[in-house]
Amino acid sequence: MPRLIALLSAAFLLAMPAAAQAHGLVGRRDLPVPAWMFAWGAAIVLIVSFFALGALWREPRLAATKERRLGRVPAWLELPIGALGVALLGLTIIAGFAGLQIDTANFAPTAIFVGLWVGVPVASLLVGDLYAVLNPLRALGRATGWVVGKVARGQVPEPLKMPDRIGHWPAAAGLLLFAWVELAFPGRSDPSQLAVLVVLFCVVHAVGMSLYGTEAWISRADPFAVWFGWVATLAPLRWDRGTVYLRPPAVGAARRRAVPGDAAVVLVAIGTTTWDGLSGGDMLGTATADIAAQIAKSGLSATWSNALVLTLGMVLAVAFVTALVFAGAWGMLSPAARRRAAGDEGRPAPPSVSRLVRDFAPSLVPIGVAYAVGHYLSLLAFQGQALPQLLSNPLGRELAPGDGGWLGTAQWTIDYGWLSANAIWYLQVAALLAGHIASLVLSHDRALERFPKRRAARSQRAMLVVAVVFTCTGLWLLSAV
Amino acid sequence: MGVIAHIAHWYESLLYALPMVVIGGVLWYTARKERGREAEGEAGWDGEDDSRWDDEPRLKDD
Repeated sequence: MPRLIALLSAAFLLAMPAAAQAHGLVGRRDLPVPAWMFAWGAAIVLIVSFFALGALWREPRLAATKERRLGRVPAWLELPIGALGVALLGLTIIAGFAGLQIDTANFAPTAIFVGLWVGVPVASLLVGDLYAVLNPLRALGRATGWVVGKVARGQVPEPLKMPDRIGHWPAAAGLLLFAWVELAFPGRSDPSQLAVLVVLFCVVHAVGMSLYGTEAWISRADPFAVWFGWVATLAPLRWDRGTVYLRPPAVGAARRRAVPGDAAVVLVAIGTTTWDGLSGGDMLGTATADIAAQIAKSGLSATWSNALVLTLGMVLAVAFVTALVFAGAWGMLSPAARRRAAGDEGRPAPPSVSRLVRDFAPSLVPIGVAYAVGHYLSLLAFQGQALPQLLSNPLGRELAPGDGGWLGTAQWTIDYGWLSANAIWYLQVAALLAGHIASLVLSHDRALERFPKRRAARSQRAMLVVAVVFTCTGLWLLSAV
Repeated sequence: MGVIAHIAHWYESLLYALPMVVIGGVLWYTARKERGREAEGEAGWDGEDDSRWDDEPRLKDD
C-alpha cells in the first residue's frame, strides 16, 4: 500500500502542469543558469548533507544544547503588547464593516493575510514566540478572567478538563478552515465578509475559553497560537516568564515533543501552501476554471463551483503531502520491523507509522516555514509595505493631498523596486534549502534518540527522499511559470 | 507556438522531477539489496529498547 501511495504521489507530481506562485509580484528574472538547475543543485546539497550527517553526527545532541540567558524583560510589557493586539483586532473588524469595500484600500484583508498570516510568523522566526503576547484572544481571555475573578471573589467554577487525546487537533482544523478562507472562500477579498468571519472566530474562541480556561483553550485550539508557536521553536530566542534565552536556531523544535494533532498542523500548513502555489499557476488556473464551468452546468452558481474546485484541490494537496510524509515514516522501519508491525512474529511490535509521523513532526516544521517564506516572500516584501499606509487610513477614506492620516503614513506608496526579481529568487532558494537542511538535521537527531545507532542514519533515507521531493516541488512551484 | 510552449512547460517540469526519481530509485535499489541480509540477521525489531518510545509528551498547560 505505501508503495502504491508513493507511485500515486509521483504520478500526481508529474501530471501537474507547471505552476506559478499565487502571490507573485515578481518581475522578470535574469538567472545565469535555468531555474531547474537550482533544484538539481539543492538536491545534491541535501544528499551530501545527509551522508555528512550520517558520518559525523553520531549522538543526539540538539536537545542537550545549552542556552545562554540574555536578560529579563519587565512582566508589565505583556499588558501593552496584548492591548496592541486587541486594538489591531478591533481595527480589523471596524475597517471590515465600516471601511471602503475594496480589498487593497481596506485595512482588514491586508492585516489578516499579510500582517497576521505572513508577518507574524516571519517575526516569530527571528525573535521568538511573539504571538504568545500579541494574541488578542489570549489578552481578552485573561482580562475577562481577571475581571470575573474580582467580581465573583474567587467563586468562579473550575474550567472543564479537555481530554489529552484531543491534543492540537482543534488547531489543525482551525488552520485548515483559515486556509480555506484564504484560498477558496468566494468572499475572501470582501472586507465586510472577512469581518463577519473574524467576529465568528472570536465568538467561538470566547466560548471555548470560558468553558476550558484561557490558557488550555488557546494552547490547544487557537490555530495561529499553535502554528506560530511551532514556528517560534526555530527562532534563536526563547522567552520564558520574562527571561530571554539565546540558543542555536531550530534547537527548540528538537526539544519540543509533538502531541496528537501537531503533525496535522504542520501537514496542513505545507499542503495548503503547496495548493496556493499550484492553483495560482497559469495552466492549473485555467484547468480549475474549466472544471468549475462544467460543474456550474449542473445548476450550482459559478462562484461556488469555483470554490468547490478550489476546496477539492486544497484537500487533495494536503492529502498528497500527508501521503508523502506517511510513506517516508513507513520507510524508516526496516523490513523486519514492518513484518513485526504486521503481526506475523511473536515479538514486540514497533511503533505505528502514525506514531512515527507524530514523533518526527517537529522536523517537518522547517519545511512548512520554508514553504511559507518562499511562497509569501514577495507578498510580504511588497504588499507588506501597504500596512503603514493602511494603518493611517484603515477605512480607506479619501484624503486631501498631503494628509498623512492617523500616523502620517497614509501617503506612503509601495516601492516595487527595492528588491529585484533575482534577489527574491535567491532568497527563496536559500529559504527552501535552509529549511530542508534544518529538517534533515532535526530528523537525524531524533532518529538517534529513537532508533539504535546502527539503524538511525539508515532509517532516515526515506526522509531524505521526502526532503528532496519537497525541495524540488517547492522550487518548481516558485519558478516553473 | 502554443503547443511548443506547452511541451516546453512539461519538459521543464520533468527536469524538476528528475532528482526525486534518481535519489528515490537509488535508495530503493540499495534498500532492496539490503533487505535479504537484514531479514536474516536481525534478532529484534529496530527499536528493541521500547523505552525509547515511552516519553509521551505532555500538553503545554499540564
